Amino acid sequence: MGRRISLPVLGFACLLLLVFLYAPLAIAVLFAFNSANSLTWPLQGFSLRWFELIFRTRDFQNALALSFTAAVLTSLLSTVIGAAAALVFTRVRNRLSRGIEALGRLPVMLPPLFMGIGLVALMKLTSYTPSLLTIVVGHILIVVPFVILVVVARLRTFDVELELAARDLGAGPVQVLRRITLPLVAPSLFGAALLAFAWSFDETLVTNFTSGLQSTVPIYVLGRFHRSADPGANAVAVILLLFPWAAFAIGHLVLKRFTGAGLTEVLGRRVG
Amino acid sequence: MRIGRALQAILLSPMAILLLGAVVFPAVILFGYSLFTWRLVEPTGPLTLANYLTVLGDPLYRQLVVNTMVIAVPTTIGSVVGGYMLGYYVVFGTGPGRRLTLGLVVTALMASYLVRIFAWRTLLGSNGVINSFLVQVGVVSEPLDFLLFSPPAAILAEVALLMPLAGLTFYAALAGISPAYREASRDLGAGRAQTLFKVTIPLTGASILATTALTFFLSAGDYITPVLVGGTSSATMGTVVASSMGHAGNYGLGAAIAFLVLLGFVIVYVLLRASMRLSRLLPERTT
Repeated sequence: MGRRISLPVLGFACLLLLVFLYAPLAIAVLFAFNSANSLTWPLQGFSLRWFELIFRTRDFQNALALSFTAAVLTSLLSTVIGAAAALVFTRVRNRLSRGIEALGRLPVMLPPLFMGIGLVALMKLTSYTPSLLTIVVGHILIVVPFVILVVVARLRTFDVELELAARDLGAGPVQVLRRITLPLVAPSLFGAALLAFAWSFDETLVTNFTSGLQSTVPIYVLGRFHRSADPGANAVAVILLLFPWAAFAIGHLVLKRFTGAGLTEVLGRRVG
Repeated sequence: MRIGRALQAILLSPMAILLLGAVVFPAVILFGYSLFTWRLVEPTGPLTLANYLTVLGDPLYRQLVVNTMVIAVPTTIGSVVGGYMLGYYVVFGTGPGRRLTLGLVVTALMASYLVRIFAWRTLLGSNGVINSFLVQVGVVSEPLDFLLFSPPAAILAEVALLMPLAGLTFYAALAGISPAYREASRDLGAGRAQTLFKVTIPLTGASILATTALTFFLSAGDYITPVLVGGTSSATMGTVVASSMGHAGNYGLGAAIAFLVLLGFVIVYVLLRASMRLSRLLPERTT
């Protein structure tokens, strides 16, 4: 990266930007643990009553269970679909492979709104009612490009000679995939699966169209706290923050430990 | 390693089925739907361009385009400039704050979308933190209602939503440029600002173009932030598409608006690329 330069003014400006990004989050988290009934300043006292209240709410329990189920299914399916595709994208440069790769980027280059209304049209034409399946399909669409980024990054860096050596020693292609390639990309699959979980758990813009009468946690928040926010909303907010953060952190650390590069580097390549 | 044709087909087919079934086919259906008049959530009558003509002719939609731009343009500029500053600092700055800044940008990106919007309501609402603080201190006697449910509130919230994404992208782009170019520029006597505008920015021009476009698309296509913090005066193209495809049940109109918005995106992208080329911020393709 060459010589670094002291950038005091820019450093201070970045500090302000980070305060701007985190101040609202900090306030929301603080109020989740505040005992008062209203969201007015100053804070009253520490309390877990809003979490108690939320966890005793039936609708929230259902939403949490649905979010969890959808996120696990999305995570597993998108990792399998994305990893299989990534294998071809990195090894075969024909027109079909390139075409699917380009098409696969579309869902993250456009607003999720477009994927959502597409699924609405599909459900309308086939008279299919929203279900867990439609939620998961929507999530996979959004998440699979990230899985591909993570896995492709790994497939491009590890020693391809290993695969060739195995072939020379008489292993068939499937055997090479199972005995050589798969163990080498395993950390990336794990990282990708957790990134997918994190993204799915919080997905709102597509889910809003595909969930129908059921609610994931974000959809529950949208419906319940649309008009007025109470401190209960902030308790749900803390849960919505924690699950994806935890999943991402575990995925990042494991990936970094085994391959040297974490999820951070991959997210930055979403655009270019 | 060479992968045989049969294995290729097996590996690619889940992805291909997903994309054809959930992206390409739905787009075709949407286009078909846009050519019908809809009544009671069903397409009726002969094929017609009425939906497109309504959107292009009705002054209501001109106002919606204005509303959308009023939010999306400042959001894009704020996110891209702020993001570039963050990325630049992480890549070229000194001090222990660099790694921490990168970590915080990523953490902000992974923070819940909905929470990041709702948090602004806690902050800006008429009984919210800022207002109750101002009233108690005695700066104002009544809560300032305009803080929330206004276009500026939507802009603030969306900049906070999209800046981490821009920051991380610019971090990746800036970390990828060879230091030799910047060093050569400095050695040849260019100042810091000159190096930034003549070397660093053009070298990351492709990333700036892609990020600016994506930020603009995501902002213009956001249909939740304008409703939750922008208030009724901030109905945008995104919110109208969402309501047409939702409770209004006018899929034909919703689809027509969506396709026109998509066309608008293409025009914006082409204009943006041309203007960046003209101002020499984006080098001509060399490969």
